[in-house]
Formats: sequence, C-alpha cells, structure tokens
Amino acid sequence: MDGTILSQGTFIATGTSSGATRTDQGNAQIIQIPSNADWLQVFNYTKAGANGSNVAYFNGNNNAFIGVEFYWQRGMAPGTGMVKYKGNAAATLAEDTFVSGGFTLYDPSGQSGSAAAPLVGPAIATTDTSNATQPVVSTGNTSGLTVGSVVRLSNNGGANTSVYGIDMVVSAITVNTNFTLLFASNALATAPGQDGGNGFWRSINVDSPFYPRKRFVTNITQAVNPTVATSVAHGLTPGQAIRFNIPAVSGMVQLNPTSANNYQYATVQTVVDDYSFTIDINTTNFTAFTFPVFTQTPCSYPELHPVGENTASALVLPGSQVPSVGGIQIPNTNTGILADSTVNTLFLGMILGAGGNGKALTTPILGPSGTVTTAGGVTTGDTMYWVAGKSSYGGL
Amino acid sequence: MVLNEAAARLGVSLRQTEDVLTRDMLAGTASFINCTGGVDGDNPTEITRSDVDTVVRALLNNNAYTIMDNIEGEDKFGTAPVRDAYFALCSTQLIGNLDNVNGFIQKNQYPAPMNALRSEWGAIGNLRFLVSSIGSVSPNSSSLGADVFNIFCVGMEAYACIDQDGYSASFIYRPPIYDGPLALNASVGWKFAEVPRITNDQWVINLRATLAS
Repeated sequence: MDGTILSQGTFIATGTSSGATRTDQGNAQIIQIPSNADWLQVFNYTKAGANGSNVAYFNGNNNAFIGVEFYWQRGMAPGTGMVKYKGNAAATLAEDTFVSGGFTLYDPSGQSGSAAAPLVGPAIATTDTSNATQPVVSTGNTSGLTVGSVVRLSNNGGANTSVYGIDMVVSAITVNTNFTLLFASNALATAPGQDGGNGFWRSINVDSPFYPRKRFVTNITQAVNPTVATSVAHGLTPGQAIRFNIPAVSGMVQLNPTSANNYQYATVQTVVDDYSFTIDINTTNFTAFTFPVFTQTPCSYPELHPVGENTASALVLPGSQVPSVGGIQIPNTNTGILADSTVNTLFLGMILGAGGNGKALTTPILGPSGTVTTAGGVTTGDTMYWVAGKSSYGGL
Repeated sequence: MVLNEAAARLGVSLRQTEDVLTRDMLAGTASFINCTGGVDGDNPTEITRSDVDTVVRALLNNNAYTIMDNIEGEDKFGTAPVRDAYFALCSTQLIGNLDNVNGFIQKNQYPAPMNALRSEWGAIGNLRFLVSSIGSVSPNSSSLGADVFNIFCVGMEAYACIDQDGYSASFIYRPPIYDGPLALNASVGWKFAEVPRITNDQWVINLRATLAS
C-alpha cells in the first residue's frame, strides 16, 4: 500500500461545543485529493492519546463513542467506512462500520455518479412556504441541512410562489419542522405575494464550477452607495466589476446597460457580508427595486454577472481582495487585482463525515471529521492526520 | 491498431472535456433571459418565437456581430432563405420543441443545405441552433421542478478558450519500457491547460427554457 500513496495532510477539527466538560462532533470537512483516491485513512491524533469519554455528544445527545481510526476504500457505499473507536473511558479499541456519517467521495463534476455525493439532493416534501421576505418553509424532514446550506424549492401541485426554482441560502432550522430562507442582510426586497403550497426542497451540493459567478439579486437599496443582496454567497471582492440584468418587473432597470451605454457596469465598493455588498452607482432617484411576485411569473429574475475588474478602484479600495465565503478562500481563485480572473474551482476529494450510528453498535460514533472538546471553558479541536492513495492494479 | 483506436477515443474525450468546461463556464457566468412566451405553466416556459425575438433584439442592441452569413434564397421547392445569424448552443433534448417554434426552418430546408453544420438543427429568425448531447442542463431548476435547458446565444468573439502555460492539447504516449523493468504496460493519454472566458458579456445571453409538457 505504501507505494501507492497520493497525498497526505492534517487539519484541526472545527465545530461547536458547550458545557462544562464535554466532547461534540466536528463539522464535516472536505479534503482535496488529486486523481481521485482509491483508499483513505484518517487518524485522530489527539484522541488516540486519551481514553474514551463518558461525555461524548452527537447532535446534542450524550450517547456517542469517539472514533480514533477510520478507513475507506473504493467500493464502500457513500457515507460509510470502517472505524475503530473507544468506549466510555476505555483505553482499548473496538471496531465497527458506519451506517452514515463516514466517508463520501466529493466529485462536483458528476463523473463519479452514485459513488459520490449527489450534486442535487433528492426531492423532500414541503407543505408551505410563507409569504415573507425571509420565507419559512414547512417540512417534516430537514435532514442534512445546516445554517448556510443552499436549497432549491419547487412546486408540487400547490399554490405557486416566486421563490421556486431559485437557489437560496438557509438561515435557520427547526429540526424536522421548518427552515428559513435568507438572512436579514439578503432578505427579499418584497414578499412573493402569497404562500407556496405543497412542494419540494432539494439540497444543492455544488456551485457553478467557474468563478466569478452570476447571482440572483434579492434586493438593491436606493442610496448613494446602495447595498446589493444575492440569494446565495456572492464571493465578490472590492474592485470587481459587475453588470446587472434587471427585468422590468423588478423596477430598477436604470442599472441595466442601455443602447447609449452598452458597457455600463458597477464596481463593488465594500463587501458587507457573504450575501451583500455595496456598489458605486447612486440609485437614490432610480425606481425602487422589487422582487417579482408570483402574479408576475413567468418572468426573468434580477441577476448580476461579473465582467472584470475596475483596476483603478481595486488599487485604492480597502480590503484584501481575497474571494472568500465564510472566511475561507474559494479554491483556486487569485487575489489582489487578479481576483476577478476566471478560474475553475472544482477539485476532487473526500467529505469526512461528522459520524453516525455504528452498524453493530446501533448508537453514534463520532466520525472522521474529528471532535471538539470543551474543558475549563476552552474549546479545542482535535488534530487529525490523513493519508490517501491510489491502486495500481485490481478493482472493486 | 490498439494504439490507433486508443488515440481516436482519447481525441473525442479531449474535445468533449473542452466542450464541457466551456459549457460550464457559460452556464455559470453568462447573463440570462427566461423564456416567458410559452404555455406550459412553468417558469421559465418552453421556447417560443417571442423569446427568440427577445434574445435577438438584445444581442442586436448590444451591437453583437452575427457569426454566420445569410443563405440566399433559391428557386427550389420547399426551401426558404436563412438570415445571417448568431449561434444558439443547446441540448439535443430541445429538438422537438425547436420544431414547434413559429418560423423554424429545418436545415434540410435551407436553399444550400451543404452550408449547414453537422451539429446544426435549424434556424429561427436570426438564431441558428447547434445541438449537442452534452448541452447545458440545470437540473430541477424551474418553478415546477423541471430541468431547465440553457441555450447559449452567442455573437462573434463573445467568448474564447485561452491556452495556458504555453501549450495547447498534448497527446502523450510512453512505451512499456518506461513502466518498469519488465516493460509490461504502455501509457497513453492527453492533457491540456486552457481556460474558457467570456470576452464580451454583452454578446452572449443564456436563454433558459423548459420542455413543453
């Protein structure tokens, strides 16, 4: 096996842990592995040097054991894998296989088919989508959703709403009851006009491969330096040039290029957050921006698309000009005045799960994404090591 | 013989990969217009003549050059002249819907069909449609959850594929002697380093459509 090693690496587990002294699951991690690995081992360096814990939590319940060694090989079902773990306060290892929350191939090109995580998740029923600028979607199944997830809604014979078909970020979740679309900073300019009835939600697990990306616009304020909001993270940096395509149903068509000025564009001034930013065009006297209501459909939606960099502005505007989402640089992007350059952001890798039930154990084991532990008011993440390889011969 | 076959297959693989990358770049970065003239009750609707006219008008207003010259009318039964045209790049799934659009001219109705491209399906107004099995599709992206087909309507020099690192596509063959002391396995493959890029965003518009129900 050693002669087939492709790559190796390390990371610190991230996640949320609270309480006096306890251990919680880490957030799922995606690691990059060139050439698509055939096998992968992950080791929890921190927890290998400690006994098992009586206060290991999974999804808020104190019922988990801590995984220490993890193994996956091509052919194992997505989400599974083998695990060696330590029981309550135990110094010795026991072994099991994950039913879920283990390893899942990450291949956003879709070429790995069902062996990898789906690009678009399965349709899950919804019963209502509220008529609000931050619509609340009622559903009996919120599995897999976290704050920041991207979902796509659609109709299923119920009343229509204009937010169907548009990718939107999830801002809050009530487990297996409902979830909320959009944050306050990127809420719709106007509510969709009526509740949506029976429908579906699907998780969207991959973004457009090429950066910078076009985005649906949810709101534009009327101001000297107006704030523009997008339905999912924009990833733009100060100095980048964008062009709008605002349909008549959304009012503020003055932002569109005209026959007198085909090349009118706006420059990003400041990035407010992942979902909003300000621009350099004074919209004070423009028509107010509205998000299309359901009675206006079918229609085009307001959108923006990147056109380059206003280099002069980029050189003087504050900010490090690193294309980022959630504080993490978008893979393969350039920085500085080349932040606008077109790049393919795709990579092959593996999703390290947060853990799940062991097949024999039938209770949770914390997964290859590691754990976070709180002790004495201080929360620390485990140090994790991994090594991945490729097989020269043989198959599944 | 085997090497020749492998080279032929790899050539297709290389060019299809190039097409897929260009397709994904256009899908992710080009501005779009939803089809709205149809009656399938979805958003976007199926493609209609009014949608074609909308996108042609937009390209003309943006001063995009057409790519193909007109095909002059001739005194041949069942033919019709074809206007100078932009290209519309789309999925083969759309062919039935294209046939039903008002004013559609099949390529065998061109006065000079030999001027049609192999992948061409026909023309509507100032758009000539080129279809591909790997045309762009956004899954479950309509308001009714149907697949949305991206029809890239492009003018001349609207986008480009730029070679990186000073080389274009390379076909690589390494005889078995490089594999190991027993010379058991030859290696053959391709590589290229290029980036697709819109050169003028005003000259390319993604016309989004669903299939007629």
